[in-house]
Amino acid sequence: MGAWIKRSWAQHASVSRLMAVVLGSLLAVMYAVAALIDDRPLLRQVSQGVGNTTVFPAALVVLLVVMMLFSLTFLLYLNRLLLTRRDGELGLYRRLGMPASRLGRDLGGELGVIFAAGLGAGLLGGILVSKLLAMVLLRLVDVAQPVGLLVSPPAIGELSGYTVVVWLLLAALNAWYVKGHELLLYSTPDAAKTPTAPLSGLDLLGGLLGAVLLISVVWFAQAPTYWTSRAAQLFGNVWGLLGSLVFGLLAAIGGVYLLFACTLPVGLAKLAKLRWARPASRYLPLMIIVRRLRANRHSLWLTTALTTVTLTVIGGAAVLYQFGQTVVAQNIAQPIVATASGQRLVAQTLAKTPGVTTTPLATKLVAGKVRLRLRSAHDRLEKNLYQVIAQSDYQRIRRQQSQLPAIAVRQDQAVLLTTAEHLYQVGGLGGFDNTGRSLRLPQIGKRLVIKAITADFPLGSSGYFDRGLVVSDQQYAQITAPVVMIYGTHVRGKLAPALEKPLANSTAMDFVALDQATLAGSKVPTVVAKAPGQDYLGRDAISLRRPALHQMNGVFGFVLFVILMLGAVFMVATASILLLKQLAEARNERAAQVTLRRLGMPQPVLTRVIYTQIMVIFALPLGVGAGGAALLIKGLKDALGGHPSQVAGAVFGVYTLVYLVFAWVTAARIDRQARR
Amino acid sequence: MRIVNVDHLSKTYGHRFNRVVALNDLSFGIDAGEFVGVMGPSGAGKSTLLNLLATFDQPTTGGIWIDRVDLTTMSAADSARFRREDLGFIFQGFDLLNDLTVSANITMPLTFVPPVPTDLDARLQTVSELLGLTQLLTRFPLQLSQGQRQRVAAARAIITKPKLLLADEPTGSLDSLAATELLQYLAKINLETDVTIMMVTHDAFTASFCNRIIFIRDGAYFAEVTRQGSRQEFFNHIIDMEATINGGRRRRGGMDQA
Repeated sequence: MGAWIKRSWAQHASVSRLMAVVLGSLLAVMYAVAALIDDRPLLRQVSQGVGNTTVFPAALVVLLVVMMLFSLTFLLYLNRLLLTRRDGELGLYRRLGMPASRLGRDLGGELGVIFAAGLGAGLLGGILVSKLLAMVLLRLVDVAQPVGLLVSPPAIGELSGYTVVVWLLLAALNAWYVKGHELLLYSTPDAAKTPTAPLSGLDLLGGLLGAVLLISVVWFAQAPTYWTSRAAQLFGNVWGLLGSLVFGLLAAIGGVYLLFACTLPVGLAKLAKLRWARPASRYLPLMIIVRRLRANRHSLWLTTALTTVTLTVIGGAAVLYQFGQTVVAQNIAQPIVATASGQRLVAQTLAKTPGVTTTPLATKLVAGKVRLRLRSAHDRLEKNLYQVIAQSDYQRIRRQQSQLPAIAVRQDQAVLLTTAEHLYQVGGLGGFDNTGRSLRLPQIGKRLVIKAITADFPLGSSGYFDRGLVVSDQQYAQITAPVVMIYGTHVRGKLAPALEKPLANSTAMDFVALDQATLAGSKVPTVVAKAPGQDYLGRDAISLRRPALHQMNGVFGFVLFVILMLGAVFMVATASILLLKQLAEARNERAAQVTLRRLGMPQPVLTRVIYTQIMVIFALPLGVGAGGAALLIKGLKDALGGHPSQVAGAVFGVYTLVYLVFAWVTAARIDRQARR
Repeated sequence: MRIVNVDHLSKTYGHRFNRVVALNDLSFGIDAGEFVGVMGPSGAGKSTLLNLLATFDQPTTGGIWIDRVDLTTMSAADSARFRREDLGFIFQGFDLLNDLTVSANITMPLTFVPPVPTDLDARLQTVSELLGLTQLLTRFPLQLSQGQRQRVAAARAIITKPKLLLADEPTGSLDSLAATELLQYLAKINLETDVTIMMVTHDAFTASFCNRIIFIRDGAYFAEVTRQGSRQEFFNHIIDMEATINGGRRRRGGMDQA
């Protein structure tokens, strides 16, 4: 067996090393997660923000199990791919009289060496990477705590056990494969010698259908609400919604498949006929890509689907993470936001603290009526309470709160502030924005035209009962209504925990009655300290930004961490499938490369041909998958009010970079083989 | 005019404890427009000679000049340019690119480096007519018979208007009918385009289509036979020389194939 392993290792060094590296990478990530689960003190710190110490360990256990199952599936696929690649060699051994049992045992031994190398590298890498992952987790959940390498004997034991079980399973499957294979079935047709059926009219039709389906999907994704509401009007709510979702899904699945099987091959073949494509450095990659697209359409479709799912999940988690932070910043725009009743405690607590700056904002509380169009609904008369702000006060606050949009209103105009702004302003197909609507303030008998709608409140929405209204200074002066104060307090440096604690523990609230008389304008709204009756609005007397941000990060940061781990495993798997497929294809194209060199193709041109085709084959699933993921994330963003998503962009960037590194490694490897 | 000049050519493989001398002080010449065959028993050094002439490999000692160009001092890039512009190849296994149509296969060597010749289509038409491929240009190699594939390879070899066409056992993968047809086409190419052809073969019938046969044995020049009478007579001479070189008795009868 030793001689066999030595010979096989030498003969298949590159793929054996690759399998060991992939296995090692998967085990390293799994070890790091398992070690995190075992580090109870660290997880307790992480859980502080959400106040529940059982949720995070349980979620990490689920993550680990999912990773193990996915890795098992992937390793099964990888093993099968590598085994069929050696069909000819195994068939030769069998034809020369090597017993199937012996062959199976030797293959198992060979796999054992690969798994042992992968396990060793994985555990070592896992210990090294565990510190990095712990730091990422702590950073994401906003906990400052030093952390070292996580060495966990139970995690080492678990991962070693898992590796042995997977190895035994694969070895058994390989032995069964060798034993169950008829001798004559060993020789699989050489892919390079398989005739490529010329593109037919049917391919052209398929190509057109694929393009139509994908355009429909993109069109649908631009305004999903509009299309589903149209479908609901035609087929009823349930069938309309269900039908449009099923159509979108099937069109995406079928469209992507046809894109690889027909649309791109037909398009590229047409392109290859142009005079532009005559030089071999253009013509050859085009034709090779056409063949690879058609031959590998299933794996390309699969990797595209995996890319879409991975990027959507990671990007979605990143959007949620940033959404949480933005919501907190919109809600509490200064470190401390207080009402008049809360400001007393704030002032008292920070009396001796240096570097405290307080920004007061006077608002007038009035009832208002306006007919607005809401997303996916008809016009509706809305009666609300508004805190009216003078334009000059708004501009003053804006100098400190840069995310506030610039506003300039005439005397008859107003800017509406509401946290549900995205429901009143919808872009794209079937979009509307509600500007120009007339807002009536019955209590004072005034009418104002809505000039714009925004979700950004001066000092943050936590200081408001409901909506805000920015009017001209002149208009503000004419409004006779109770003045409601909001105070924003900024503390230089970090607020000491001893000072923050009494403010955080404050449960004081302000209330205002929301009865029909108040909304109709016949009763002046009054702020009280206790909840009046059944219908009322309330706001916290003191809102602190840091604890709110900490809590938000605790939840969304942890979710992002879990998704990132899972995404990393998915990404390694997706790129590895492509890498191995391309290496297998390259083996078949070796003869063609030799011919081209013999005919006098300069090495740089051949290198360009190889790099172009590999980069395109990698870029296609990445591009199409990223496009699909971007559409889905855009839908999520729109649903959340169109908050910024730079973190999702960064995730896309990192994913693309890693993917391109895989592509470059593949191309460099094939190029090196071609040079030999 | 002398187009090929091989001068005291030697090629040794292996290291100092295990040396194999493939070519041993071989010298000969080929004039422009000749159709020369190289014959010899297995291991005589035919393929090594072809590899050296094709610039696939470098000699240990000695010199090779093709059209006065010294092949032994060429860089890899110069070799590639030389193969592309001055040599044409027909290999035993056709070596066609199965993903490309017949026309793309034929024109391929002209598209390696820009600019692509403006008369590309005219050249394609000329060679496809010469080799009877006009009806097959849009097909793929795997849709053709073996003989047709080798004709495509021949068309690819001559479309660059090479100074020397090297053919390595071109009929090795063909049945006798297809082989005869191909050899007739090669003779036609030699006559009509005036291209010099050097063909390595072990088959006397194939060799009988040449004008001159160089025999090598153990890597060294052994003898040569020049066609003077009919092809049948030439074939007989080749058989006689083969018998001599092999040290065996005379065999006859191969011409029945024609």
